[in-house]
Amino acid sequence: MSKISIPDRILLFLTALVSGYYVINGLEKYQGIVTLYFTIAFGILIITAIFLTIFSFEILKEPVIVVMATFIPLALSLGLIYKYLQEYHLLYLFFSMGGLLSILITRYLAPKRVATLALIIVHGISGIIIFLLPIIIYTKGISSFYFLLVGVGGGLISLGGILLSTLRFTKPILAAEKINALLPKLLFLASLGFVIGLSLE
Amino acid sequence: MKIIRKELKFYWTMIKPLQTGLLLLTGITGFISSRCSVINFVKFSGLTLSLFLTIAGTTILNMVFDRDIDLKMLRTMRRPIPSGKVKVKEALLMGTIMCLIGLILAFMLSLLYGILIFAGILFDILVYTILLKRKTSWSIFWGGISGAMPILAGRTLGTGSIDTIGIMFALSILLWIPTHIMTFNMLYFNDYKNAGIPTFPSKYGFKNTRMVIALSSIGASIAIGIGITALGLSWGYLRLLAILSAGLLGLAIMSVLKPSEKINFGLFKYASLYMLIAMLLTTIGSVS
Repeated sequence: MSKISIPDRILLFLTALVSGYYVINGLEKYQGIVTLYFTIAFGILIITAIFLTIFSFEILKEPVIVVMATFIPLALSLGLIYKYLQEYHLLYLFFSMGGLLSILITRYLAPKRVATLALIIVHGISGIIIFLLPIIIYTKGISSFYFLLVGVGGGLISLGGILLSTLRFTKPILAAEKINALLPKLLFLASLGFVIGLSLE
Repeated sequence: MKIIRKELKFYWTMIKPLQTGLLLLTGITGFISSRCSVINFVKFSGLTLSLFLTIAGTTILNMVFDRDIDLKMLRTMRRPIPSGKVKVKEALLMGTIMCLIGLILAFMLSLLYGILIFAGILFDILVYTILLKRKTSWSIFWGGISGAMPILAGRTLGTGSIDTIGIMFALSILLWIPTHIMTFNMLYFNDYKNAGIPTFPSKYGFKNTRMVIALSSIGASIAIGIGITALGLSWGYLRLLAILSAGLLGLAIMSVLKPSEKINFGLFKYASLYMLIAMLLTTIGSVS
């Protein structure tokens, strides 16, 4: 595992800063449960950025971190679903809980491939929701153009999650070094997309 | 000019700039949290200067009294006093003058503030360094009390009295300090052993020390959480603090369940960062 470069450390610091700013100033406008979901999503984004800065990419070997990181797209998509498609919230909440449980169980008990598959499915579906929902909402004229940035952020964070999960394959999509080099950039751009998109929705 | 620059460089390392900076920040945070008029330039400058002088002076005096220990430890043997770069008498004089000027300034600002600063110096030099450090591993508790004094003193200067919020803030620092010292005790276990300094890991073992670190980290975050809540900061600040506390808790649990040098040192770094951010949040939240 490669060490984190200074520019990447700065990007991780900015990720935590931008997300922290939104946690302090941006969440008051939402209903209780949406605030909770977004707090979890941005909170884990902050902690992930700090952990990566402190422990470097080695921390990604810890199964608990992989499970924790899944909360980012899941919590964010849950918040969006509750806000814009409330009738599907309960259904999606059950899917999220089931998904998390399956990731947790397979990470510790199942073969690598099964664990990775579970991770890709959960990351993929939540990522698609974060990516597509803003587009649908925008085309319906409910939100501003900037809300599309949330979708961009969702796409980026899911890409990061999926790339990381393929590291467990014998032949990953990209080499570990390349994925590690991409990760801080993806996290920063995703957090920026989320914060600008949600602030100006 | 070159000699002065060199001397200043030695003294800069002797005051442990990061530690002094963080303690100074806690004192300033305590003051600003009182929502006293920060625009009062004289009071604010007096607080900053008196805190800096007493904290830095105390640190220099500690190095004077611990010079024989420092010489026996690989980590500290290159410090200016044990390596002979700074004379003992000179450092003793410098540390004493800094503490005295800082104390006079503190008493000029307020009697209660001065007493607290004086108590901090007394606990650190006399109780912690001279009387207990070489005798018991529990000495860090007393070192913790002196470390907690700047934030309590800062708040007391602002409010005019010692209040519950100040005590909670002080408690958070008191509980944070074992995380700091015990991590070093484990990282440099042999150093401390060679120097004959009793530490928690040498007396109670690594496993129990990790447990104490985890518990004190959690205690520190609870204390600062209560302090900030009582201060009435907006929900946004509390949310962010809760997030960071969750990270601290997670890391503390990890250090107990899956102990390793990397996790221990990571917890130490995170706890320091946590305290720094908590102080900044309190400061910004108090003025916004």
